[in-house]
Amino acid sequence: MTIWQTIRNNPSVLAWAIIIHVLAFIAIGVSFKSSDPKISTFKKEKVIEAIAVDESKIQEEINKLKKADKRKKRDQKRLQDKAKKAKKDRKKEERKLQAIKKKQKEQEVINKKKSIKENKRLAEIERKQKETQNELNKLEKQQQEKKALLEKEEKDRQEKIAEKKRASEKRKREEHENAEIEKYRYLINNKVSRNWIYLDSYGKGLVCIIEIRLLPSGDVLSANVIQSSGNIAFDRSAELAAMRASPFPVPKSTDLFQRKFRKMNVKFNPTK
Amino acid sequence: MIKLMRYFIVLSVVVTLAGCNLGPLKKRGGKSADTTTEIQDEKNKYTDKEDSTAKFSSGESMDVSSLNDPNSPLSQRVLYFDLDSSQIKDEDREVVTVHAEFLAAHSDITIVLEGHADERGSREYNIALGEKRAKTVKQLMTLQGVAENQIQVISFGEERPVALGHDASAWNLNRRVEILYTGY
Amino acid sequence: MLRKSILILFSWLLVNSLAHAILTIEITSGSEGAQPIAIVPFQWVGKGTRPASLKNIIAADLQRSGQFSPLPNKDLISQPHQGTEVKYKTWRALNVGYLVVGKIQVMADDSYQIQFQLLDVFKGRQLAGYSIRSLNSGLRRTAHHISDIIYKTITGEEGAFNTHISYITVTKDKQNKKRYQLAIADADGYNEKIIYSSSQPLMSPSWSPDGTRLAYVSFLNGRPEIYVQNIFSAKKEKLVSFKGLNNAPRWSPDGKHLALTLSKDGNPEIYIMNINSRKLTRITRSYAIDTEPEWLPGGKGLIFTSDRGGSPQLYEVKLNRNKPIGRAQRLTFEGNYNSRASVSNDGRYIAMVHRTQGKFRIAVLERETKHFNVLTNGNLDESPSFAPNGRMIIYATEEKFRGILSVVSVDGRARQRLSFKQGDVREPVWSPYKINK
Repeated sequence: MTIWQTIRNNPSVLAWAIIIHVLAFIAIGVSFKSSDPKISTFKKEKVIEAIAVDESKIQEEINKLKKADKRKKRDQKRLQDKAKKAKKDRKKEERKLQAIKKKQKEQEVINKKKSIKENKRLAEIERKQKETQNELNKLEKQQQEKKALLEKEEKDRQEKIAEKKRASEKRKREEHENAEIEKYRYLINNKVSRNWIYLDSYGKGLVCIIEIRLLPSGDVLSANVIQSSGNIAFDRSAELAAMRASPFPVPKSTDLFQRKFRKMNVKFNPTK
Repeated sequence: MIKLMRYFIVLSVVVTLAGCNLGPLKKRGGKSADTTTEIQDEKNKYTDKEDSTAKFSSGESMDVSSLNDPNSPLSQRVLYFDLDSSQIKDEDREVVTVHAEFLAAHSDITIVLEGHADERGSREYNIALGEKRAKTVKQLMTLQGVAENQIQVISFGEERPVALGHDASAWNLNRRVEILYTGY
Repeated sequence: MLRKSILILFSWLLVNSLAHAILTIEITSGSEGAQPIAIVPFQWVGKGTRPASLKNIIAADLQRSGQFSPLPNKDLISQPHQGTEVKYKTWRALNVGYLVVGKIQVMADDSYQIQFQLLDVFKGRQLAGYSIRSLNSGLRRTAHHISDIIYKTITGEEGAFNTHISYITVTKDKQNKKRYQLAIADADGYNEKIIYSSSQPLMSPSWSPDGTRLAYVSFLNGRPEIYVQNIFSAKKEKLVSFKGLNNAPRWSPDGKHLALTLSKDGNPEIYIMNINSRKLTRITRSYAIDTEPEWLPGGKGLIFTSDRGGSPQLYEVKLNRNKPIGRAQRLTFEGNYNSRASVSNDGRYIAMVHRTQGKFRIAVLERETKHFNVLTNGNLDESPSFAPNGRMIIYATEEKFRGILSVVSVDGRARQRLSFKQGDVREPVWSPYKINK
């Protein structure tokens, strides 16, 4: 049983308690007023003094106490009434409070509800905002991508153009180079053919390959059989043809010479 | 007497000619113009000189002495051949026959048939060709009654030419079979 | 396994791509011709008269082969006698690929020490160099030996210069009677030796494969018979004398048999005779002429002349242990006269007498390709006989109605007449490589 419960069950107890307490406080308070700084000494003296109190004074005191008691009772009754009233009021108040509380609670529920809803709404909004944002981002990204793509395309286009240009230049260069190669291939072929002396009677279907190493001047540094026909006379005639044809007609471009003519193969194939 | 014999010979030539045209060995053709003319000239020699009195005779009736008679038909002892050929020419068949009849009548007499070729072509083939020519003559003779052992065949190919030239007329003379009477 | 093959594939691709990267020029034609070669007259070191010119002998040999074209003396820009004296550049200017230099040193015993070098003009280096001791009498032989070395070094094939020929010559004696002679000489016609002489025709000499004996036909007894004679001892014996023809002997590659023509059974047929046992095997059976047998390499068959088709043509019959297998096959179809086959040692070519427009010439049939090539341009060319290296053919021809011998290269490009002092020369046959004395 809690105090509160006791109070609620018997409000007068509360009143009493309050009264007693008030009185006690007054009494203590007075005492305190009279003895100011030296509390310990006073107490001792008081005890001695109390012993010295007379009967009359006690009577008087009792009377006084009786009167006070009557007053007290009155006051008590008043207080009781007051307490009743207060209780009533408090009850009323409590009810009111409860109502308020209830209302508050309701409000709170509502609020809560409201807030959930709100939250939801907010979340929704937020989501929507996010979505929008995403959308925007997306759009932006897309735009960026598009832009990048366009840029890339443009770049590619430029590159392609450049490439084409390079390729055409390369082709031109190659064409020129090939033309050069063909020209000298023809000239070499012509010169070697003119210097090739052989006999059909060496044999049928003879083919040999001679590896030629040239100096930039076209002079034959070496001519060696790298694929024999199997017939020594034929191989020798081929080697001799290459040696006799020295110097070979070669292009002036040292680069082309280095790449294509410094070392080459001459195939002797009279069967064609 | 000799004159009379000549008549007989002419007659026998004519008869033999006729017989040979019907005979089993018929010439396939391909005459050399030169040779033919030459032989015909010789044939004409006989016919021109002699009147063709109708009297019958043959080599059989001839004496051994006619072998040494330059006017005897037996004095004709060379047969000529065309290039690459071992066929006896028509005009030579009579010559073969005269000799064959003579030999058939004188079985003690033997001959050598000597085959020859001209200088052209390979020597060994020409030896064989000479033999083939001689054997063709031998065959014709044996068909007319000459005994095998009366005839010996030999070939000299191109080794013994009679004409030493190197032209068609020499070659014509060298493609030949000579009839050589043993001991005469 | 897979990895390996992939590796191989890659390396192949690599090699292939590398190969493609290299410029290759293809030459499909040149000039058909013999290789120019310069032969400097050999230096004569010592006293005494200079013998036959080695240079001339060697030059004639190389020329005759058809493979070389020796420079005339007047074109020789200088006359070095050893490699160290050669200024290659100047020789290159002549476009001559090969140079031969050398010297002959007379030794105390009158023999010769011969040095020679074959030089590659364009590569500036020696290809062959020899020092050869030669007897006084053997100088020509030594020159042929040098020709063989040069020939082999440049062509890779055996030369056939240091070989012999046999042939028949016909001369007139003091009584203006014909003498038939069997002769042997160097392959260039020099150093002639008569090993048999007769008043009767001689024909068809044939070398034994070891080069020690000759078989031939003699009419000594008034008809053709086959004799065999040792060329060193001159000992001869009559080997075959049947009734009729005993002709066209040809020694078999194994040396133990003779192919020959006999007509003892009627008409000329080909037989094979075992020389030791004299046993005969008949090879042909026809009513036509079958003669002039020639052996195929290894005795695997005979080629002969037959007129069984109406005109003389060459036929081949295959042999197994000298017995005929199957029917003879006709080999020649050009014109209406092909006879007297000579087969090259490798069996690649058949040389023959071929008649074209009334002229008899030497032709060659290349067996594999069936190419038929007329090599000579005389009127009466006959008796072809291959050199043992199969590159040259000796044959009989005529010059001002006199029989002489000539040599033609197998491709017909080079023809060289051999010189003979007198008489009618005919039926040459080339000896095998070695004459084993």
